[in-house]
Amino acid sequence: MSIGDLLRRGLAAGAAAGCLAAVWLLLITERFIKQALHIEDVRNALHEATVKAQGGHIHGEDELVTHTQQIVFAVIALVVVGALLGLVFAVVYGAARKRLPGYHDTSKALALGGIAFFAVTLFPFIAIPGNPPAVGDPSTINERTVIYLGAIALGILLVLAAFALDKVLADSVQAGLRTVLVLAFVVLAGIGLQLLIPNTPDAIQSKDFAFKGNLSFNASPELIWNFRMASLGQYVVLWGAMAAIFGALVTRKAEQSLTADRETVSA
Amino acid sequence: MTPTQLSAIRVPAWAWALLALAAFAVLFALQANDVVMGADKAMWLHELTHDARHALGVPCH
Repeated sequence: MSIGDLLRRGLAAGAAAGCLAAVWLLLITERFIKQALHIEDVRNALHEATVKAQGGHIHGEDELVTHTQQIVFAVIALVVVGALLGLVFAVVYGAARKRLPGYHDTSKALALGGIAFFAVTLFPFIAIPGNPPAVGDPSTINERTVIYLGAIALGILLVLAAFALDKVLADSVQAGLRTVLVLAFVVLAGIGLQLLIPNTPDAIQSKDFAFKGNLSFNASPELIWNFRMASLGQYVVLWGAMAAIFGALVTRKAEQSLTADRETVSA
Repeated sequence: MTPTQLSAIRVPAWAWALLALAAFAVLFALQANDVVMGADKAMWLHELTHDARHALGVPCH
């Protein structure tokens, strides 16, 4: 099996997983995005009314794109992002195949899917979880982006450190105990890193949107929680489907080349 | 049959470059729209990818 074989399968598995994540988006995540957009609309209308009541006028900006266009493009974006992540998945799989747990491509691919979910989704999610529209202060976007990308980098480094530790212990510690030690390292170092990562600078429910003393023009804690779980679930679908489909495709290819080799030998 | 350990697959330098390019493309599509295009187009793409960005948990607004 060559790197080209892996890349083609990664691209296909990633695009297919992106399609499934898009279905999740349309059925579940979008519900909460719509609720949050509604809060933004109410805020804008209220702001407009206040300005008009004071004798001012709003310089209405035409909407650049409609929400329908945003939904359509979100589907396209998920498929494209899925395909691109599929390429990354394939390259990492090729390099890490020997070291990944399991004896078959199916289990090894699933293991890599789980590791990817942990390193670049769950780990940054714990540090700075995603939010629906209507949450977030535009002036802190750069700071939040740095925290987010930094958390992804730390998640990847943590996994690489765990594999390095496993290698160091390989000669002196038996396999079962080694797994326990490596997992303990990931948990403890992971907690330590999370404590070091600065918190988001934003207040989730901002007083900027408190009209007449109540916070009801903010997204409710329930909406934020639902949105976050929907977003995580969408990632579970993305990584899970990518890993499962990639593993199945690679296993089939490996079996085909094995049969071809045997036929060459017997011929 | 005793299980045999599967071997790694040789990853040439160009494949690592492809990995970096793909990762950058994801970053570009979701976040850093203004790195490689003018402000107007970047704003347009930023608005188009709005829902995808929120859904994927990327910081926004």
